[in-house]
Amino acid sequence: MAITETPTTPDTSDAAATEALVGYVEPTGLGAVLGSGDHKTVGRLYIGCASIFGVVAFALVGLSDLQGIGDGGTILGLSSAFPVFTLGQLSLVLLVAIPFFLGLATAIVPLQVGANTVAFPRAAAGAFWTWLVSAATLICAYAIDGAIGSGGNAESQQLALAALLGLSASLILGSVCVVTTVVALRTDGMALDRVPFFSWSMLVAGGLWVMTLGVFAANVLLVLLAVKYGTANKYAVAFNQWPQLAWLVAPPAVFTFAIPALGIIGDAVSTSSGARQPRRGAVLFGIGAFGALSFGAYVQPFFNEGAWHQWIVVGQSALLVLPLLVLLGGYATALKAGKPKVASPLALGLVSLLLLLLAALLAIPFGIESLQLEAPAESLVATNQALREAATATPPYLWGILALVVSALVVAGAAGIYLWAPKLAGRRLGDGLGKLLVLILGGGALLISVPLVVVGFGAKASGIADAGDALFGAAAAGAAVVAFGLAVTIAPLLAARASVLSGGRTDDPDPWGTGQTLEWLCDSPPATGNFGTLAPVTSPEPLLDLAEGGKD
Amino acid sequence: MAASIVPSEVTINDAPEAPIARPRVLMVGTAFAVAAVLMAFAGLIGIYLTERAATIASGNAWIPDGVVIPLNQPNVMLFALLSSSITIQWAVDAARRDDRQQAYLALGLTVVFGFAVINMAAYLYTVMGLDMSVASLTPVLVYTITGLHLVVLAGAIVFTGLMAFRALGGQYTSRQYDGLSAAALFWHAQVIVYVAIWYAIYITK
Repeated sequence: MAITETPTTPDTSDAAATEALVGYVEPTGLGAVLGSGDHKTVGRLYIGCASIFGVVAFALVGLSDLQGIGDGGTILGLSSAFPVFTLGQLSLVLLVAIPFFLGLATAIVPLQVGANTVAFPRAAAGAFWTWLVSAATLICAYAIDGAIGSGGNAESQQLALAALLGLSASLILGSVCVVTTVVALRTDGMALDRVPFFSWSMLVAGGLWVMTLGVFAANVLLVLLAVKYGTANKYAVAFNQWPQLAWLVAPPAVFTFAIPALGIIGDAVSTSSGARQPRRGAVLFGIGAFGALSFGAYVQPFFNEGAWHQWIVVGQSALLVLPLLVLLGGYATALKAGKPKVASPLALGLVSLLLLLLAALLAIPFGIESLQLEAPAESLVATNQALREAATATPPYLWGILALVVSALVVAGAAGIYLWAPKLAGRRLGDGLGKLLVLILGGGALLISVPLVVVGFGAKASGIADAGDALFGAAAAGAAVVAFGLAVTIAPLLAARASVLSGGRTDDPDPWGTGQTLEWLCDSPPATGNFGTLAPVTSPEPLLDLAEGGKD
Repeated sequence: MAASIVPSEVTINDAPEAPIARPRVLMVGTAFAVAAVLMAFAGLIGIYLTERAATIASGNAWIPDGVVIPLNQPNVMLFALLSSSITIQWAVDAARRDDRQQAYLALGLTVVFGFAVINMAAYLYTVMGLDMSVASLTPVLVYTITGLHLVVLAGAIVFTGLMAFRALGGQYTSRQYDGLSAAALFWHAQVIVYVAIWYAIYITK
């Protein structure tokens, strides 16, 4: 027998410590949530809050797109157009993409590697609350005329920049907790090449996020000090502030945030197929190579003019497609080797992979200088001040790529939620709605991005400027569809969790019946301490070993 | 007659205990935090060198008129930090040898070196007389980079101090001294950062 399972009771030392506290009362209700260092609770909080921010962020992106219609300023007014644009772009990354995956990882990674907790559980909880307070501060600062680069109230701008520092620091800390869990808290026998795909992807992603956000925080600090001390140089000039920070939402850095999606897809494929992943090493290599090629903290056009067109950046963008093709092939072989059930996690995961592949392909021409994709057509911006300001450092072509990448992440996130709902909420979610989400989110992702990419070619094709209004309108509609899809994704999870908390039914440990990795060994939802005593694992698919009758 | 603290049925085995298999969680976490710190400084120093090269290439002076960047204080700070790297490694080695007195002494010296560097940096700021309000890029870059280093140094002092208190509490022995190793790793990292700052800012000017 490769694995032995014992009842999931709290850790012995924890139980002894609890007994020693005479009169100790286990917190319940809100107190249990606010004061919890349990990784499942912290993970759920991340996912819930990031999803709510996601709905708002996509709504902001939609409003930004509407500013491209006509002469701009018709919806929000010129003074609000640029703040809404920058807040939307920053939110997609710092309030949605990273925290969503961080939350999923905080909840799931310890289960996958056979750990009783995430590394530094108090730090993980502290990271979440710091992130939440910083996010609220950023929004408040924007609400009181503190938009970065708008030239508004200086003190409010400093507050917004300080909030960005808080967001960066908290996301770095949260990443460190997850990555350390994968590196140092794996159960016996689980070598690094045996960790599940999602945990592996979080190891790669967390390492890159730590480095990328470190550089971003340094950029923010430079702007903050320049503004704070009234420096009369280019760093403090209002219209130069956003260009110093915009590299975070542009390729190749934006692909860094997509790495966990590749792991979710891998686990969804494995669970659906029920077969061991053939050429597993190639899949792990593909995820790692995608991560390495997505590092983009050095591509900062504000400090290095023409950085987007340097051969190394263009080459990096071109090579980024290859790992995705490797993964596509690898996952196809797994599906061929097994008898896949076409459930919503698999469908959502594959759609997400195809969307990421499309985004990577679209990023290649951006580096080709002769295509002039950095600026929209003159005829588009001539009378539209809002569009002109927004396109200064982040051209519409990049809006399209960012929207496509983050939408693909939302699709992958939905795959993760449907796959791991038994561990997050206590039971599976309805598969019919999940399949409907494939259409909603997949369609929304294309609608929000492709029109903006087409707008990007406006400088080369004169007819595109004439269709500008329709294209921006379509992109805004796409943003609304993705926002709606995200709300529809998270609502059933919240409902299932509420039902389970009020005594509703829970699922078996492995409701899919084809789970391969350790998270499918613990209860749904997992009890405190997650596992009892685990025997050393001897392969990347310990549950298959168990099912095959004790193959070591 | 003094009572024996060892029950008569207990036998003391002279053989050393086997090292425990420990996951080194704090060490790994610190290593990733160090990566974030190093990248932040890599980004800032990269900006500094890029802007400096562009300014000089355009025929302008990088250091504003009237500003003096002396070498005495930066050199003393470098010497103090290099010494502190030795003392903190001495603390780790002492813990490994179960020599608690030497460990306390080494940790104390390390923290003193840290405070000395902060003190010297504050004095250096008054000597340099860099004015943040001018249009030159130099003051804001110098203050951002060196100021961030002081913040990181303060963090390293707090980290080392916490580990020192845990050592005082007897938590670190020859079998388990990861906290001290992690604090040493963080300390060495900020020393390396200072060496880069010393060369990029104070030497090349």
